[in-house]
Amino acid sequence: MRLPALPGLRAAANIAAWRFLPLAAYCLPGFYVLKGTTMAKIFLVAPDAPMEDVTQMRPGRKLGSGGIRLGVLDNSKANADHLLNLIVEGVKKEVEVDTVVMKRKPTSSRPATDEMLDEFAREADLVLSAMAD
Amino acid sequence: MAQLTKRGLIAAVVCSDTFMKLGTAQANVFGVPDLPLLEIRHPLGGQSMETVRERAAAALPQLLKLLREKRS
Repeated sequence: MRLPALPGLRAAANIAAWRFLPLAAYCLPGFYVLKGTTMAKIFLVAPDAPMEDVTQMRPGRKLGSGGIRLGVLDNSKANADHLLNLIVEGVKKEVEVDTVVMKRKPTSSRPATDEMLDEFAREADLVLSAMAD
Repeated sequence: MAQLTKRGLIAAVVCSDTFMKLGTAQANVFGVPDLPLLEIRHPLGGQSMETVRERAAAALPQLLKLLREKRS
């Protein structure tokens, strides 16, 4: 097929041709030499995220002998609300619960807001959430 | 939940068995490797209320055990 003399279109067609070469072609000895190019630098990216700094961590709370203040963070995934409510009902049957603070994230893919975290920190001793599909 | 743990709260996450490895890895990355994960069977979404009750029944004793530990 003859392409119009548009440099941008030609470049795009060249890139497309390279992209659709069989994968094995890239592995042939001398492939890069035959194409008359030098091999580009390859950057390998490790998928491991660095560990977060925990030097600012506060010592964990201990529960007293009285009622507990329970926090519930619903991640808004299907059935998470039912699951968490059932667990709270079960806890209330077994343990004295003073208050329950329930919060729901608007979407599961976003972290809880600072306001939510601050409210839990003020008004709960233990916070329960769910991670499932 | 890692942020809550860092603020000194006791946090626990109900996690389906399929996500346990991911949950553990995330807890490690976020600097709270001891974050309690309460394991339930996968899946949860799209299941009947009866199944959700079974999942809750599996998580509850793990949470109660954590509560007892945090009282002592």
